[in-house]
Amino acid sequence: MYLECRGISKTYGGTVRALQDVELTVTRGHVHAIIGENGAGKSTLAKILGGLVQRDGGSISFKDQDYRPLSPRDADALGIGMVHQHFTLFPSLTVAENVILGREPTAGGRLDMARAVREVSDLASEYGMPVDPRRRVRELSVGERQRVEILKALYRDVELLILDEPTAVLTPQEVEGLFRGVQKLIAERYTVILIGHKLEEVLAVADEITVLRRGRVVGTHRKQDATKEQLVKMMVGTDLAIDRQRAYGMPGDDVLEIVRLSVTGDRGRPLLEDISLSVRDREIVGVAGVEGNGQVELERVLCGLVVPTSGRVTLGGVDVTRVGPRRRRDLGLSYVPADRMQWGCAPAASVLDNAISHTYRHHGGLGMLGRAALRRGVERMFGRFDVRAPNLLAPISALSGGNIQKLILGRELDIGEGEPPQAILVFNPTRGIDIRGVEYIHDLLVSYRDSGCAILLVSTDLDEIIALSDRIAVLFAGRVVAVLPGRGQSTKEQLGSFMLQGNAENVGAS
Amino acid sequence: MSGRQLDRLADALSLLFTVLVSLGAGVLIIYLTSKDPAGALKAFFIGPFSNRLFFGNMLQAASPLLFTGVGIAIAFRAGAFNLGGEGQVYAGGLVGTAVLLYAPWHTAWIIPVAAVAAIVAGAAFAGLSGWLRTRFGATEVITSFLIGSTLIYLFEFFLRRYLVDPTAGFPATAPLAPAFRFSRVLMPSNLNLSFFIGLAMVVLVHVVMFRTGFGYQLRMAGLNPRFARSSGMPVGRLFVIAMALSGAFAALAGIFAVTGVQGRLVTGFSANYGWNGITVALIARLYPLGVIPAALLYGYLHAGANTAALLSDVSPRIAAIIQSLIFYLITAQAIFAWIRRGLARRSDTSEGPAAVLPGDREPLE
Amino acid sequence: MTGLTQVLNLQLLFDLLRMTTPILLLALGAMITDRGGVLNIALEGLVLFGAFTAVLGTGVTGNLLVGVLCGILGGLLLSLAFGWFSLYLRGNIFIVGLATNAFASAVTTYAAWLVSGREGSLRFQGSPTLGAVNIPLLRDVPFLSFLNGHTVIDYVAWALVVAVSIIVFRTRFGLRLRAVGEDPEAARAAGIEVRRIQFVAVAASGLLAGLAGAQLSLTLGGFVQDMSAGRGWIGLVASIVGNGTAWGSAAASVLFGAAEGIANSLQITAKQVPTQLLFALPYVITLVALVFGSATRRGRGDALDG
Repeated sequence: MYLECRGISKTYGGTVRALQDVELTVTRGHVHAIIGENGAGKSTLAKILGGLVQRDGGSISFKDQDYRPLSPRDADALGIGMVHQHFTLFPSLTVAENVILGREPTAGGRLDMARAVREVSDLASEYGMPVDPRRRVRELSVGERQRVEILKALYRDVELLILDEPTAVLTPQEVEGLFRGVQKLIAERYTVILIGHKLEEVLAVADEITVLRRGRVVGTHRKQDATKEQLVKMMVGTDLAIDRQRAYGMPGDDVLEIVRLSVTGDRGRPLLEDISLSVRDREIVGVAGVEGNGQVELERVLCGLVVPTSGRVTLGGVDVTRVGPRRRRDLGLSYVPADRMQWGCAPAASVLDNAISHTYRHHGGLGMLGRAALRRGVERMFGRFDVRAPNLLAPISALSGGNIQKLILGRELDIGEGEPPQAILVFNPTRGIDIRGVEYIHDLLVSYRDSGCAILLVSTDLDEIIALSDRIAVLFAGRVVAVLPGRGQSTKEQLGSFMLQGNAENVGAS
Repeated sequence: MSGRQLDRLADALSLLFTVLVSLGAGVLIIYLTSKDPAGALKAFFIGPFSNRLFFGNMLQAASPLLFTGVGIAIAFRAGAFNLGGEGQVYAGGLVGTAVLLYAPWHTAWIIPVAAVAAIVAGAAFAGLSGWLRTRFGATEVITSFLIGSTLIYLFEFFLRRYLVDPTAGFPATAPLAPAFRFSRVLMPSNLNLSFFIGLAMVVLVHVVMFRTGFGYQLRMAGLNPRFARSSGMPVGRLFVIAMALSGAFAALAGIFAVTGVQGRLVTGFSANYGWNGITVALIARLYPLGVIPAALLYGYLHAGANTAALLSDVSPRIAAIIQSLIFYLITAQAIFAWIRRGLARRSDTSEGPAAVLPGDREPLE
Repeated sequence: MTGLTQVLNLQLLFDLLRMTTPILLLALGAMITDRGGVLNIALEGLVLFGAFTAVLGTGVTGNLLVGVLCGILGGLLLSLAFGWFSLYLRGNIFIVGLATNAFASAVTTYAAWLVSGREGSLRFQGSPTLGAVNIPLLRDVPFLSFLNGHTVIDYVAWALVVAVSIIVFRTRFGLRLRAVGEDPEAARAAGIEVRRIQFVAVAASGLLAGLAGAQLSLTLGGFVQDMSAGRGWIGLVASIVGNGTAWGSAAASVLFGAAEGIANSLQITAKQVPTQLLFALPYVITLVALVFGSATRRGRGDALDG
């Protein structure tokens, strides 16, 4: 047995079960892929193996010894190295400096950089990952940076390498380069665990594939035994995502129009390419996609914090492309942020203070806040939106995630006089929220839709998208690769296929 | 007791701890260096209450700190560090006194005019620092200090060159007209109207901070600028305004020190009002109303040291040493954490200490 | 303008170098801590404290070397307090820095009074002062004569520029220091003890500040209240303007030393220019340099958008 995991479980905060009863067997000298959607638990499993996170239950044995690293250093020492999704490199230092940090070769007190450069160079060419050790990391492309991350692990004499979503930020050519490198590693008797969600790539290089879904292992297959359709089915499930029948909308005219929106990042890398989408009133348009495919950039542009490189956004005929967040709201575009703690509230401020971030402008004279009126308004809003907050003066961080989200929804959607906004932008509205909260929020969105709103729902939760959307767009690598009918007319396999590989090859019709 | 209440208790206890330890160190120094420790200590602790003169002077010593303290609290709440307070105090004193010296009429109604002039001066220089940060990214920590130091030299220059009274015998202006001086309210001490103006200002700031839309925006921008921005608040502008306000209050401390105590502009008249304002704001945990007891505490330390110097053989510097020790300890979160752990009950959620400043370290796991 | 022509001569260059030394040492200290991610505003207090302990040491023992060592030790001890309160007791780094300055000012003034009975200064009769070192080679070459005749510490300071450069950029400690300063989280992930590295950096800056203090007070021959006169801050800005390199900080220090030198020289030769404005000049130049320095790179204070 090389690496064997049995019954692994991990629960966060007492309620969120990231992993349940996970079994994993990795054969030495193989590439073992762990795939799944967002929230499937892949990252958590990787972190447990890499020593960043402690498992709650189960056992792991590595080379027939009990394996329980308390830190990444421990894992390194035992021979397991991890290459993270988000690089932990130092841009102003050179490649060699980054690789040797923590294990620097010295010659009489001074850094032996000559030796370091030589060693890094040798390592790089041995594994087919050419990179100049003397260059500074900030000058490198993303693909090159990833090579540095891998070299870091290799420099530490690891024998098992965990690659967490390595292809997430690479161009197709860079992906090819990476896989050639992986093949070389295998040839040199390394073992690789590849964490990912892009099917094409995984199938190209893996020997064995384990599929995770909602924290559990759905199945493990050897590459030759699994077809793409099977894998997609395993990843997204075949159950009817619609738990309750909800009526769908009766759309009218275009309200929110996104026309050829593009955002280019530094070095000319396209973050969003040519996005065109329109949302009609009484309609929910869902934007599905795995995290990291452009959702953040889309959010920034649509809420008014970032001006797009090109393209246009109009609301009810009015061009709002360059309008700031407050004006957008005044014009009738409400926005519920994805990251509720960083952008949606001030965690140290009181519940009351967080709830009045729009209404404070309208109450009281002389700039004075009509506190009683504001309080009444907030209490009314809490009643309408089922926010349980016994003490308005307690800091908002004391509330549960679900209540915070409901507060934010109420605050953003309740634009006064009971009138609904023209259009609503919601991003991952039910992330980290319990079942009842999710139900409530979904009902809420549907009722807003029925009173005339146009809703754009961007979510990485495919079930949610399917349950609510009249039409579904799929975001993949910064582009809208498909717009499919909602209302239960598209299958999870179809959607999953677009989400995971950008097209619908080899997936049968529903 | 809820987790939150325990937090507040731990806050109060760590404040008490800080003050006691600092006072203790001061007591130790007096004990070691005085030939009559008992007498010195008695003068230090009891002295300020022993007669009207000392008591009144103690209250008056707190007076400028009411202004600078509340001003700094405003800046901190918005996430800004104003280290140029000394310079702003001097700028306010200079500009205000200039108005009073050249005023054609000698009625008390000119005093508000002088105060406004002082405010403009203080606000302009502090606001400049804030603007340099929003526009160029130059940290206001350093720019406010540099501008403040420059202002101190400019003050000396203008005083000695243009405003000095040749007959005075030392660098000072001629005494101000009697109409421009605040009358004493507790003779023979120098307690005057400025103390009560300070109290009123503190209350005013409390009202603005917690009851107006502007104060709300300022607080939110300081607590989470991203959230504030996505709610449409002008975070950069609020930063500059907060700096300007803290400069304005420092300037008021300056001009009122002149009209209230000195009666003329004197070289070096600020007894660290700007710097002590920072500690006062921190002791008050950035709550405006808390500035009152915090300033009084400092006034007490100052008066105690002066009384001990007068009646015994202690140097008045003792107050400065004790004050700097308080300064050292007041933001030490480890003390809060230690006390809080001692208070912890089962199923306890701590939300952390009350005041969070820009530049605070995240506790390393 | 006679004042101006008198200003531009070799004597000025000599004074300029003399003025530069304390700022240079402080800038090096600031650079080390800045590379480790700590904005060190305690330097002002550290140099003042070092100046005092140096005078005390020399006065008590009559030995200059002991005095210099006392100066260094004083700076070191106070910097350890700074490091402990901010890094281990988790005090706000700026506040603890300010506290250090306030404490140093109060304690040195008080102690001076205790020892000499006079508040605000401390001078030991007959105590030796740092003398000039004669390097015959430099003395005889006309262009370079201004490089001759400085004190030992002046020459050591320039040697330290090289030493600090080597330490920060070519040793293991230096590499880890730079990593910590760039991204403490990533550094921790790489297994580096962030707090310890920062503490060592702070201690190093204390040593350098103590030496700077010794230079200040031992060339003067005594301690004067608050004699640091803002040099700690100027040194800090010099390291920022110098872009965090040893030689860059040195160049900026020369610039600021020149400002001070010119101010002093004008004070003597051009009596019509008021002294206070001349004292303010270094601050103004420092301010302008800081704003330029920040505008041309992403500095510590990020520009907040409206």
